[in-house]
Amino acid sequence: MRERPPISNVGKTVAANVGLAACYFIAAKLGLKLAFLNASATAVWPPSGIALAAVLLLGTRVWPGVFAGAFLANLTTAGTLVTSVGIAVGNTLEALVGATLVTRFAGGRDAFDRAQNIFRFVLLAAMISTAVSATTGVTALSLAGFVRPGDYGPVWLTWWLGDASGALIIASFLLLWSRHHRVTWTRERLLEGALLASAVLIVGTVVFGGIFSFEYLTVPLLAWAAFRFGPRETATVIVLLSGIAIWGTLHGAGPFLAATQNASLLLLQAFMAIMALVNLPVAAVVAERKEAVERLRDSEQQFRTLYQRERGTVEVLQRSLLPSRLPTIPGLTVAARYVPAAPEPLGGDWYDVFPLAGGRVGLVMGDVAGHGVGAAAVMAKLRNALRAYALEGHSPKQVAERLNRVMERGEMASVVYLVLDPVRWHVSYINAGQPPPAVLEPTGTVKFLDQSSIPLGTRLPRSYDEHELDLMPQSTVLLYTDGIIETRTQGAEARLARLERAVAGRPATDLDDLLTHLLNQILGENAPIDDAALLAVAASPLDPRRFHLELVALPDSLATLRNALRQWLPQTGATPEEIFAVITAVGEAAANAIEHAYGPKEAAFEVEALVESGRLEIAVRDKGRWRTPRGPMRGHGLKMMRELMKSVEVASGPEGTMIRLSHTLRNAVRS
Amino acid sequence: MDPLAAVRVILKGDVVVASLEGEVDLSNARDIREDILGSIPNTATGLILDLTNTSYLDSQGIQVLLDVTELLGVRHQRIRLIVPKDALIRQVLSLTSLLSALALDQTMEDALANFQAADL
Repeated sequence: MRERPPISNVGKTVAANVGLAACYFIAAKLGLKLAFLNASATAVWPPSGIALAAVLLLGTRVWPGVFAGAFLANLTTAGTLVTSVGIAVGNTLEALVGATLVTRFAGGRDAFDRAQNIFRFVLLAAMISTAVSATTGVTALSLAGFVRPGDYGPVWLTWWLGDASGALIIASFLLLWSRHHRVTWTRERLLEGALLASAVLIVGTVVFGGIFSFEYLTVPLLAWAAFRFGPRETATVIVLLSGIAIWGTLHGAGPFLAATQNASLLLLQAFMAIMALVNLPVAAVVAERKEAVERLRDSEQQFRTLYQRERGTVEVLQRSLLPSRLPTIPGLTVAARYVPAAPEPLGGDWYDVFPLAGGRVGLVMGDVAGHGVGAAAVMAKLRNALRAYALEGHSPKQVAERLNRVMERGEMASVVYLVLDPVRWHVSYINAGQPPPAVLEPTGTVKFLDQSSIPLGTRLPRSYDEHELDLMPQSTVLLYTDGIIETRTQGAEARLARLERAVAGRPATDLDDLLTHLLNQILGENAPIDDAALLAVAASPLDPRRFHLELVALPDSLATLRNALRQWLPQTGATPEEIFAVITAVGEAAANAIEHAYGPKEAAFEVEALVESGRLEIAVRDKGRWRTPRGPMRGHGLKMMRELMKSVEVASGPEGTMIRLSHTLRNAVRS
Repeated sequence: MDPLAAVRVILKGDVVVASLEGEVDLSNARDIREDILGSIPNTATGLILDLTNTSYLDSQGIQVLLDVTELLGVRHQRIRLIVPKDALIRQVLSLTSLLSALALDQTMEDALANFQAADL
């Protein structure tokens, strides 16, 4: 891709041409001062590098500057108007041809950033295009009689070599500095740069000043610049050494002394050009390598950041989607475990527990195919959709069918949704591709609920069959993902048998203990290869002398309360009629508490019952105030309580209302 | 969707027989009231509300029975409630203030007989 030349208007173009002409003129006059073989042909010709760099950097529109500078320099040196025009045409063509070829084939102004391009530059700009100038100039001079026919060859060679070395040494220096002009050196780097510069001056003086005329002493300096600094600094060292070498050679010192001044300078220039040819690509390669390492480090850092961000996101999502606190469900204890896979959590597994109408509880265990943020997002969708459908009262089959409809193409998940009625010990469930839920009966036997359907998200004809069965009362229901039963060493079937052995015969009095034991038995010291989740529900042991329950002040809580009382009251020895009476009276007191609970916050109420020497004392507390019954039959609640219970007290205070009910049980369990 | 209670309706001639199954409390009383009232067309002579399978009724549930009785009275339609002798809810329906307001029968036969008797 070619960049647009930075010169965009006529004024700037004219200024650039004038400036270039001036630079060219001065450099040419300096070079021509070293013309010993022929007044117009010099072994040192920095203008060729200036012109080439100018055309590459500023565009072909600066050709008049090249032409003017060359024309004036020659006109004021030797020859005629005609030879000066001829030479200037040659010099201008050299710059234009060189720049065109370099732009086309050697990376243009960035030629010195890549080793490959440097070699192309040397061939195209330093060797081929300079031949144009040498041929045009020497021919013009020959035709005008300024070059004797026998001298054509040596003059041409001097001209060509001067242009070539100028093009390589000066153009590389100018291009590299103009393309990389920012110097961001640390203190240490500045110090090293000063050391290098000092070394160049000292070694240059020693070698070319004739103290120790061994030109190869300059090689370590160039290697230093190439390896420790870069192409820009290497080019600078070459320019500095060239200057010092020319100075020394002109003063009759240094390693390049030959029969004539011209021959000396030719040797010197050839040496410098070869030094440049060898060391500039080395510097470019070193710089490329540094850049590549930097880029690699950057992309590694970027990757690491992204990876950590994703991993963090997965963890946060995962955490926020698992219940932060398991719900309190009257009559039941719930425990859960989530063991992330090693070496890193995969995400996508979830479990959920929520109370449903009628004192039932919904249990969910799911696993989304795939891992990472994508899987966590699908899991979030399914978790929320499942909860919503379940709380709307849909049956497990209906929930599964609806969930399947929210799956997008390419998403897959397995889920088991189980509804447990803890009063009747009745379950209805749908299992779409999860391992079979386990039931630990109070006798110690383990049974698997092994009816299952295909996972969610498959495009196969979907039929989700709901299965129902009655469990033995006081059973423990255990849901788990395949992370529990899958390992690298054993198949799922053997693991299932192991799970059965691990829990069979265990008392379910402490669920946390049961889950810990299970994890130890199944996983041992190993982390699971997939995330593993466990969810267990069991009947909570009832204290026949005390009942306590706190519920949200919503009408749906009434059924939950009744179910809890239905489980507890038989333990007290109350007769069915007494149970009914107590449940009705407590229900009235609770309904009153719920009707009070108007406010911005979700209020709660509390039911506490104690049995003492056959006397049942029940307290229902809320945080509202006792409301005077409204309407003709509103007082019925209070009236019913009075008729059903032995005594009813209503104590209303600023913190709320407490209704105390007491009743004497006919066949109280004596303790 | 609420599985707490359901109203099942059949027609016996021009008498609507509605069976209330489940539990009625603050959370569903309003819906149950609408379900019962919605089951009685103007053409029906009345309603026999079978509470045999009603396992729980709180004061809101009782209010539903009173509302339905009052409304049918206004519409000149008759109502009988079936509550078996040993039903637990009889305890709450037997509260003195309710006995006069509600027409209770123990069996379907009694209810139908009392329904016919009122025709005469």
